[in-house]
Amino acid sequence: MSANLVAALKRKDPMAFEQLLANHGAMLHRVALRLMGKPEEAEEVLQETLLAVYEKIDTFDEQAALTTWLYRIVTNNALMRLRARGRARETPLEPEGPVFSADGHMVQEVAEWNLSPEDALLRQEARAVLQQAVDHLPEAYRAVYVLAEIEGLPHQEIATLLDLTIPAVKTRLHRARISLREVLADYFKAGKNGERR
Amino acid sequence: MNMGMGGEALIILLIALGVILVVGGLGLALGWARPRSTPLPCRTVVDLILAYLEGTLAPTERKAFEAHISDCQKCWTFLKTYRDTVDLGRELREDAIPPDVHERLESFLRKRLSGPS
Repeated sequence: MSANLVAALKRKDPMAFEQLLANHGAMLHRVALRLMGKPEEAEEVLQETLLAVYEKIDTFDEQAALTTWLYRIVTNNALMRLRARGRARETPLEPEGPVFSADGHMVQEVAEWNLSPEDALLRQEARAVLQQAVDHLPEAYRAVYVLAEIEGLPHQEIATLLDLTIPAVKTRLHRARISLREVLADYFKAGKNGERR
Repeated sequence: MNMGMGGEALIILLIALGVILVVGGLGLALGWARPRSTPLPCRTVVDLILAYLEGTLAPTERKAFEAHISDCQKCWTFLKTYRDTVDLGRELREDAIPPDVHERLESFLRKRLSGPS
């Protein structure tokens, strides 16, 4: 199936590009949207990605997976745009996470929240809060988070795509999760105190 | 003669004592006498959460991690809410491209790819 599609793409068959969009469009759109944060910019990244596929499909090594190759193109296009836009790459990750005493013990209380799978409305709200927080992660963390958590790619593949070491991928993913956990904790705390809804 | 036998006994006693000290020291050095898992501070437990959830901790580390979690309410809650955050993050995956975006991209493809390049 994928081999047939690649062969048709290499022939520059216009129908094959529509097929590519049907098969992989959702993934490409998801990555572009989560990395860029703005729908109109995500759409421009998608257009650039489709053009790049058209121009570079002859260089695609058929031993590799088409999906991996597409991830690389869409991620690179989005990151290049973000860098060109001059979005501060060195933005610190905030909030950082728990505070520890000198001997390494947690200083503050950790508020518990109850997010049951049955509470669809609360989950939906929490997802919206999380999505917004993901959009505000610094670029270096967001790229790893999107590829690992949302796309479910293995650490090795993310390391190759982003030119990082595997420990760096794990550290960024972990720190992003900790920061997002803090955002959710604040959201649930506000709900408990009656500041939400 | 009696003095000689007493001397031999003393030497044997000293050798036995030496052996005990060497074996004991070696045992301590190898951790035989230490508890199986050293208590971890919260900071280390938080650092190890990702590896714990991925099942990549060494057995002794895992044991120490679980021992801490079962005793520390703050870390237990932190682990639970960290897990919730991971689960919720995975739900952000949307499996469809919005129809209007799809339509515009198809039209873009037709315009850019069908004409002479």
